[in-house]
Amino acid sequence: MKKVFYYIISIVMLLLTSAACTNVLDQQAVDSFNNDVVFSDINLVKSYVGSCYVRMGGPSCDLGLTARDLLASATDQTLASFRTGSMDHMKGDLSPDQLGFFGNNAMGGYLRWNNLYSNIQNVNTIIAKVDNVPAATALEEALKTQLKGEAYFIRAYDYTTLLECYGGVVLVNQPFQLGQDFLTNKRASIAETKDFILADIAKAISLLPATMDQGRATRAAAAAIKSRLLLFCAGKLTNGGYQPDNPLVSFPTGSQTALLQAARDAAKEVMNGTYGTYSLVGNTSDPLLPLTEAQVKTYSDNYFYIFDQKGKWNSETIWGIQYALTGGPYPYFGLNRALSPNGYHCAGNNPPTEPAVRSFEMADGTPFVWDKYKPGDQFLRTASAAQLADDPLRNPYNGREPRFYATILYNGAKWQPRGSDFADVDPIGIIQTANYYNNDGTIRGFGLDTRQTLVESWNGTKTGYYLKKFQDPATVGQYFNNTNTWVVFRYAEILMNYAEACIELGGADLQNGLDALNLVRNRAGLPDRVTTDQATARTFLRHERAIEFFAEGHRWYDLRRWMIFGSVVENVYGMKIKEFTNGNMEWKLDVTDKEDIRTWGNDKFYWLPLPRSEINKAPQLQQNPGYN
Amino acid sequence: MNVVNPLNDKFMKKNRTYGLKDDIGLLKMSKLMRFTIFILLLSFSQAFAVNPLLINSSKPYIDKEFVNQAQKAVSGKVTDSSGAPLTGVTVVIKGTTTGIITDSDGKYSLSNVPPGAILVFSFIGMKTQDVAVAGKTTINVAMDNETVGIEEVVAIGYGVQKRVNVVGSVISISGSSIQSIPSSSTSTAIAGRLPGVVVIQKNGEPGNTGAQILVRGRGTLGSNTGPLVIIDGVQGRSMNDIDPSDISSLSVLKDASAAIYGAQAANGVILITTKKGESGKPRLNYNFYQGFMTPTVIPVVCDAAEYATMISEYQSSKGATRTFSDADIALFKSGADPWGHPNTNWYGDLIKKWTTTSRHNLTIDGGFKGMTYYVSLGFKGDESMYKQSSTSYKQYNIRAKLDLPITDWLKAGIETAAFQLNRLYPYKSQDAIVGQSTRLVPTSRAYWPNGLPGPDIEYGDNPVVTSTFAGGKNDQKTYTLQNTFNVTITPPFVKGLAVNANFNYDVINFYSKRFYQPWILYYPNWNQVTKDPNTGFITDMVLSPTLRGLSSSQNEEDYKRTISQTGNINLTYAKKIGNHDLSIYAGYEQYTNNNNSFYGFRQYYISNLIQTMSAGGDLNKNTTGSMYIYARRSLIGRATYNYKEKYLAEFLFRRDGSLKFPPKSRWGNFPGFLLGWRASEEDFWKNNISFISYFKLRASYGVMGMDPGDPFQYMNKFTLAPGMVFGTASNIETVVGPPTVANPNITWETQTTRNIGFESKFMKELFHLNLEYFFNKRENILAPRNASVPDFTGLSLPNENIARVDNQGFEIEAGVHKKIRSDLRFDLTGNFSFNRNKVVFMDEPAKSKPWQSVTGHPYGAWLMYDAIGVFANQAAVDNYPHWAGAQPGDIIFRDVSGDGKINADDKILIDHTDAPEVFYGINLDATWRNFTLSVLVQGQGKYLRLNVYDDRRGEDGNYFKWTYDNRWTPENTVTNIGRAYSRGSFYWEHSTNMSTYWLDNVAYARLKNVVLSYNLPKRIYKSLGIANARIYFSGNDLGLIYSATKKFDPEVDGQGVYPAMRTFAFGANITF
Repeated sequence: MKKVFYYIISIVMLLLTSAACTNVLDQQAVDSFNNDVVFSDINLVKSYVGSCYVRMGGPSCDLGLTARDLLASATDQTLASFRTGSMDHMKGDLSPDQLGFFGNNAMGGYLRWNNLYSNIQNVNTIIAKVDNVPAATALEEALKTQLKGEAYFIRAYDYTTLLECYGGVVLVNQPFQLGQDFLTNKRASIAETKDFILADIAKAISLLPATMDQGRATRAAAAAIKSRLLLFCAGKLTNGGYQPDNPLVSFPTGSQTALLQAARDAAKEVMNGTYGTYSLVGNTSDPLLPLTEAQVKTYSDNYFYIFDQKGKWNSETIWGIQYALTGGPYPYFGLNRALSPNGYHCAGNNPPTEPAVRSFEMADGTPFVWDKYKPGDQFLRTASAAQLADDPLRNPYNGREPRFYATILYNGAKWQPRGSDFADVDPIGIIQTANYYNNDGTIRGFGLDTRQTLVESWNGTKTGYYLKKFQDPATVGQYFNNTNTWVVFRYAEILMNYAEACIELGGADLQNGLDALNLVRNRAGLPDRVTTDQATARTFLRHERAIEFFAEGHRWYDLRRWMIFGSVVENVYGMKIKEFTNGNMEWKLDVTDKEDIRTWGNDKFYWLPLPRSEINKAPQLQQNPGYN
Repeated sequence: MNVVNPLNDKFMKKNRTYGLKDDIGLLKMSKLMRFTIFILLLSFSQAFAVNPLLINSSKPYIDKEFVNQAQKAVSGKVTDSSGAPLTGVTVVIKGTTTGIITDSDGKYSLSNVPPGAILVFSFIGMKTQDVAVAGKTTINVAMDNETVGIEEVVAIGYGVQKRVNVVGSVISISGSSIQSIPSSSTSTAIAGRLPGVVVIQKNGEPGNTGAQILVRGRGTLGSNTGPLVIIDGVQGRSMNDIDPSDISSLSVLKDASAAIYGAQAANGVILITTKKGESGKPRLNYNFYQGFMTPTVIPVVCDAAEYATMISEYQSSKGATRTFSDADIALFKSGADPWGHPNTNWYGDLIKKWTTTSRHNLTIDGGFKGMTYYVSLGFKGDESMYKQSSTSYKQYNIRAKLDLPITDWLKAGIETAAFQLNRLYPYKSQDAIVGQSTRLVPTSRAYWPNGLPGPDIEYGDNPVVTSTFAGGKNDQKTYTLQNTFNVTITPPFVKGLAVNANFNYDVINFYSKRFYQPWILYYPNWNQVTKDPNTGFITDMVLSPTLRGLSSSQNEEDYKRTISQTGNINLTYAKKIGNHDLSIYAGYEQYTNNNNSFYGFRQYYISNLIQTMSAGGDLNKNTTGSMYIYARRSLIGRATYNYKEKYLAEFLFRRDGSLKFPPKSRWGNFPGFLLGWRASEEDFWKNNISFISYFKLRASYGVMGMDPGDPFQYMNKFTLAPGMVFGTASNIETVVGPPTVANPNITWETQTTRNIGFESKFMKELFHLNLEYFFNKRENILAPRNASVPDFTGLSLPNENIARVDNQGFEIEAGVHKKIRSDLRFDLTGNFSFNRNKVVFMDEPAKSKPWQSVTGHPYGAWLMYDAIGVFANQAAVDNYPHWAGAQPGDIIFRDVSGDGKINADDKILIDHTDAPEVFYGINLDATWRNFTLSVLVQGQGKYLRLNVYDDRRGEDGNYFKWTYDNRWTPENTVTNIGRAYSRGSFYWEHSTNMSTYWLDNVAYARLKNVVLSYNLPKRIYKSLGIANARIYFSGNDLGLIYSATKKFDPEVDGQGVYPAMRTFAFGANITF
């Protein structure tokens, strides 16, 4: 017996020992792979490029997270309802230690120095290694060329963002390795930075095909960056407006004309169809005035659906970012959720401000005049039921230009049907930012979309409005993500870039500029602008850019390029609307109710400071002017 | 060893000597037997007469090895130090398994004792004594109380040691000491009982109550602070799953003694040993308790009138339209208009006064001819405090253990433990149920006056509904199977040598199904109301049933499987030459862990009645999965040496190789050196300071490691992620990257641990005092080079072994042990721990202000403004630097930089925000006749915690009462509570500009638990075949003796979590 046990035990122990001797420490990683693997298969490189697109993000700061605060809320156009305090540049408080909206706070974002550079590092890795990836077929060879082109496109986009935020930056075209000496990299001048980006764009244009899978970079998309970049470079800010002798933020004296010409030509190339055929959608002929209500709606809808595209893009869209209903890198992409009113169980963020709402023209192309019926009173408008029946334009939201109705949700605007909770109260779906009063002035009830209603009142608008643009009427924001494309480059921008360059050049170019501007105006259902005066033309253009690109993210760059931030920043007040039982109305801009106290403290805020931590880590980097 | 106290000798001579008593049988005693008796006795009261258990009338059994020698009978009486007879004392002939237990008069009698034999007297709670027979036939012994710990042996990792020989800083408790405490998990039950062990229960939700444990505080950066938990020699087993009734002992290795666990030991090691069977006929033990739970502290919020008042103050102050008029406020107060002006107590509507917890455990054990078995069945059930019960935790466990002596040189053992843990929750998490209950405004309605549920605050959150299964179930089940096989060979030809191999195979299967559906809430129709003609108040309303929460039903299922295997082959050798006692352990161990998970999701179910995955729609579905592997190989060694148990030395060594690291830095060596000196054994000591009867000085030094983080950081890893939508078909591309930057040199964190301490007993063990001091230096802590690599490189920095944290502290344990009368005795012990860590280096980017550098502060120091009061009036605002737009009633931030401005420069670092530095417990054990009482008071020192659950207060949600009481108003200007506010409207909001205003000290002392038990007199149950019966009343978290904050329970994680529970229980422990 003993022997048997010996055997058994010996066997058991041997088994245990042999099991223990398989070298469990030399296993391969099971859930990931490394550089060697990725750069041995062109399809994996393609996937790597795909992740660089994700990190490129959109022009609006927070697209990647929850579309909470639009870049427009860093300007006079809209209000970041929940984070007014983080707009430090409009509080006179921006510093290398306190970057607020532009810093690494919990909101993340894509305008950040570190995020942009981290994506540049990825792209540099691809550019450095893609040539050595084996390609077996001609198709794979073509894919290599395309991926390289896409990489240059992404690098050009990220560097353009850096230039527009910080001026001249550190130029890197090789991937960094740990342990390298990082103390020798200095900031290049803004002129060198521009040239670096232009070289990338040239490469991208030469490598990229004219058409691609929708969403990937095309030649035209690269050309669109060029147009945008050159226009920014040609602006006042970088040409004598601020610190003209500092090459980090200014071009050499006397280069503005050449820059404007380059900007004009870059836009013109796209307009000429060099990179593909693009055009404004809708009717671009000078409209016959006055428009009927139905015509206004047609123009309005045409414009609105530029931002509500699903599936194949229209002819105006050069490049944009598409979103899926679920999944994807932006799992919480809910523009409706972010922008729709509280009465729809949404967050009501980024409401347009009163001055921005007033800046929309009347349908006939004349300016909107608030105090038309009571000259001198910029705050209060009243209208009895009889007056309104007699002259509907006493309601400030009546008779406005088509884009107004595509951009703003105001009291009385038709929006989505309400959920079953309020279908009884509001069967149609009409925005209620008014409160309801008895004729004697006592309160009768609160509008569903105000801050007094008991439905998620904290999400109610602070300004009296909501942003309609970018929302999809078919998406129920409280439950679903948006699938409409966020348009990054559209043909209208190219036209307006061209118009601006031409008008700034003046002389023979002025009328060309006005022609391009009028195309955009006509498409919106507005009559031509006519002038021969450069200053007037400039005013026309600036107005048009503000309206046409409302909340799209251009405004922050425009205000800086033109250096007019100081003249547009003002406190944000709430529009208070009273509807009386007898049909009388009252609209009051309540200046006692300061929703946001704003001030433009200092022209140094035209440039973002480099974060303090970055200067500490790389003391060779020169800080932007005005910051310590 | 000291044998018989001369005083006791004298005393004993007065007693008569008894001869052999036939009615007490002899029993072959194994170590196991003694151990089990010890455990069982512990379950009963200490130092108190119990029946001569287990050995009623068995036939005398005489060990055959001894019958042939010249032997005679030895008898005597065993008493305690006061002379009272001790029943149940084990008397064994040393080196044999022959022994007996003293009878109810404390008497024993052994026949056939060799003249040169040594008798070993042992008893629970008493010091074991060896007495040489030396030809005597009568040996009377007085037992002394054991005060260092109640155990005779202590688990020290890969072995056990006699308590007196332990040279490491090792503390332990027996399983029975926590078995009757109605605490929700083992980790919370040990709070306050183990010096140097900080226990923080952050949550009271059933199934989610496991506490955070810190052994000697924090020694590193980041979240990797928990100790290594080893259960029956195996890591990866959960201490909260294990049935407390199955726990034999729990030890904590705090110093270099943990070095035997090498690369995982730096945060300390907790060792849990489960019970084994003991020889004898089958014994059946049944233990149960039924408990009743009620929340300890519920955060108080404003009622409707208070809320409306405060909101009105806020709105008026900023010129906004008031939501509530003065008339509204009066109606909220009067309650005359329940439809229009409710006053809802959300928390009150959510919870009931009492809920229940229960636990049942049945064990059967026994053995014969050396074979032993132990079978245990357990059940634990915790119900939720919600009025409509939904959340619950149920645990079923079974454990079977079999030890087989195959031959006299070969033993084999097999053990299987299986657990099923059922966690059941509603769709919404406790955060959305309990947390939102503090936020929902009291001017809204949990229920309409007609009993239908009212609207949500948002996302369907009406806690009285979301706490039910109306929105679906979150059904989580964990199935755990733990298997152990082992064989031990003790070759007869080499005495003292044993070769042991064991293999563990643990499987954890986790499955969760979360089928969720929209639920109905009732929205108002203010236009369709019936009004009382006299008062004008609404008496009825047509309500709109509305589906809320989700757009449609959806189903998520998760599968996770974890397999861990541990193989260990080891050799032990023990040799005693004269006074030199040497033992050696050498082993090889291999551990592997594989984890796979799979997740599926579908929406748009054809019906809520068909909940299988395939019944979902195709439009919105998702699957994901992941894998994880880990492995370790180790060489383990220990050598212990003692000379006369007076000079003690121990050397530990472990060599660990971890899968996480590259081959060149994969292996690490971890030695430990421990020295002890029982000075009280020295003659000079005995002659001069004999009132200190026991004094042991200990010192240790060791190097340990920690291997936190993901495996394979040594290569640049690309991971899969969802990418952009390309093309027009709305398809998401799967993308790779961006890669993490590799750190080809990554390796362990290392900790050098120094410990010095002593254990002592005074005045015939009336007092004891133990003191420890430690200094831990953790180096090579994984941290990124934040200060050296600029962001423009775009490198996502890998963790490198660069940071250093020092941690030091001390522990004091002291006690009084007094037997006042033969039937009355008490033990009062207290322990106090202090530790403080300091970040010595972490490559921190330079700060513009020196006072903002974390380096030099304890980990977790929090940068914020220093709130120094409230601006009483405009003059006060004007007279002190203030935030732009500050107004009276706002919080004053201290101008730290002194530049006359308040900005980011004025933030300071606040310590004590990570964990308490001081932790203590005071324990009273008393026995009086058949009663036993155990009381534990436990507490912690200064610890600052956020006192707001979230920022959504004001228009966004209700206020806590403390922000209402004594708040600044134009009339009440001298106060330290700020004005009425609303989210996003004031600069001192905690998420915008955090300040000390929002911190509360959560120092506390609480009556942690009480157990009062009564041993039923035997005459009651003798005829029922019951050997022993004990009933008890116990309680947990019974009351706060002191709490620095009244706003919430100081232990749980703020106001937003499920509160801690006060539990009262009654139970019984019956042995057949």
